[in-house]
Amino acid sequence: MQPEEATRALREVDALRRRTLSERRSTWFPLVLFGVLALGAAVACEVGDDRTVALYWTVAGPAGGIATGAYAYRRSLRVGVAASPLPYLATAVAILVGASLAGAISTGSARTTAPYLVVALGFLVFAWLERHLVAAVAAVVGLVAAVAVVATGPVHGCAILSATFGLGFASTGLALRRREHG
Amino acid sequence: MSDEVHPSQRLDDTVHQRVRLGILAVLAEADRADFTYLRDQLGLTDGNLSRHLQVLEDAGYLRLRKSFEGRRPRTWVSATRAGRAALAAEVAALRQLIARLDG
Repeated sequence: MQPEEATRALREVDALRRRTLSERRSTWFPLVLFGVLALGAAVACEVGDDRTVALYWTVAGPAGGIATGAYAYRRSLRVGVAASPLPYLATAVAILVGASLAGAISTGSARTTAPYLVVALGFLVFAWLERHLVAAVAAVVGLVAAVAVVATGPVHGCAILSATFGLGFASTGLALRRREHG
Repeated sequence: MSDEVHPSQRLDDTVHQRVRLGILAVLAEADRADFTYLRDQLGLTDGNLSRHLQVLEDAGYLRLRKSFEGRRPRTWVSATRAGRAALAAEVAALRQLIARLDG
């Protein structure tokens, strides 16, 4: 076998893998959806108390996860290529359980902000599963914001952090969608 | 004289064929892909793709699953663990071959 032939074969493999990865991903959808939900949480932080925020996420978190799963499934039928749902499902459950625990064991303002540490870490895992650098950057920025707010405990920390996540995730998701759809 | 096996001898004839390598490359990034997707990605006819899928399935590298969407039949293709390992071995052998020939 000639080296040019081997090089061409490897290039074709890489190109096909890249294209398939790009076509099976729907990273923009959960970013936009959970971005919007986080903006809703910012409102809940201001109009209610800890329990209002906890109740909001108890409903919005699983609903967002189910909507994301449904979107990914329908898209896989339309495009004809799909990822295994199991790692995503396991990560989503871990985020829900971890975020609930983080809120339950924290005290003071951290009851509403500490769950964002888990959410950011969870999105980092999602970005790794999707092998998506932009999503990973959004998750790291969210994680840094969560660490800063949890550590300093500013007034309106819950609303500030929710709005930061909301605007960051939604704008990243919309930019990705625009890039995917031209 | 070296006892080392030449990388070209590590190339698997079943996987090394261009189309079959392409099929496994697509399936390396997905849990499953449907027949139409593979056909369009690889620029093949239905008959040509079917023949290559059969070869890979006979080698234990693929699993085919037929389903219906309404009245429309659909064939989903997945790589087995052996298929993923065969692709990884093929890519490693190709890299070694290039390194050896370039070096």
